Amino acid sequence: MRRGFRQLTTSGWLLMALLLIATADTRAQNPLSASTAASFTVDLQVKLTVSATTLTFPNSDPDSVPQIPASEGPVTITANARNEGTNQIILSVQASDDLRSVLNVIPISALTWTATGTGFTGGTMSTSTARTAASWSTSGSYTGTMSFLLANSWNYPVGNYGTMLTYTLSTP
Amino acid sequence: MKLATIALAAFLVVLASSQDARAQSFTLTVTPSSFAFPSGDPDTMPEVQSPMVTVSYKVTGAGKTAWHMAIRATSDLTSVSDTIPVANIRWTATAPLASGIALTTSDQTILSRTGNMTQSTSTVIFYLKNLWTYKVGTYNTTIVFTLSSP
Repeated sequence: MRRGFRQLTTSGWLLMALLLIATADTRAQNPLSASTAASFTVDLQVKLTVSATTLTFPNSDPDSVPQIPASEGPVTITANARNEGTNQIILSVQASDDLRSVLNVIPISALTWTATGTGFTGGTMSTSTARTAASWSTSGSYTGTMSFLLANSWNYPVGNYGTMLTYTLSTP
Repeated sequence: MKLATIALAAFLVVLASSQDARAQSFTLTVTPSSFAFPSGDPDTMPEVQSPMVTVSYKVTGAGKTAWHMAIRATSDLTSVSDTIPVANIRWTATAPLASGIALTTSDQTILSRTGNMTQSTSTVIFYLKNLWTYKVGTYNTTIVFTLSSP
């Protein structure tokens, strides 16, 4: 009888050990997880929108209107850019030529602008240098306005003058 | 003899609990194992969409035991030097899984049931807000689905 008890307890301990192992195995599946890896690549990207494609400066009395505002009013600029780190995002503007009529010229330096909006700045137009109109140091969507003024003068010969302005949005 | 009876009773208790635990079995697979959100113009694609992710699962031997499926991300979307909040990811799922408006790094329950569930398949699509404010880089995270019972 005593031998039987010993046999039983020995077998019992073995059985208990096996059951504990089996239980531990099952618990390893609770919780059970599975996964998927997600990635997203952001590339350098710029996008520029200018609200007006033409600007008109109406004939005005130089004494009463020494600075002629554009008839179209402020030009709204939207600059969107994704850049790397804190590299500068630069919006520049440059004239292709002086204001020219068939026979005469008004220096492009007579054209200036004031600006509103984060990062935007006023300036004087140039044909030789792209003037910085705005700059930012981080990716984002930026909106501002540029209000153009033409210096008026009695010295201007009669004529219809024109030039082309080019905006450039760039990141390094 | 008394000791033998106690030992035998203990074995039976362990055996019973072990069989309950052994009987409950989870099966869970997620495919594909990885995917990439496409890039696009944020103005025309305010969200970018993942390919369809398939979640297959099965619960057996649950008896009257409650169980849950949860979803989480292991981290924000992270590049070498920047992060995109993982909350910028939402998902839609086919029934019975629940959809969600913002992924988090902690578990969100998307299915709660009691008892067995035959082999089932749901599809999940993830949507990432596509913002101009993101900085250039390749961002990564891992999305984890978990089946568990108390």
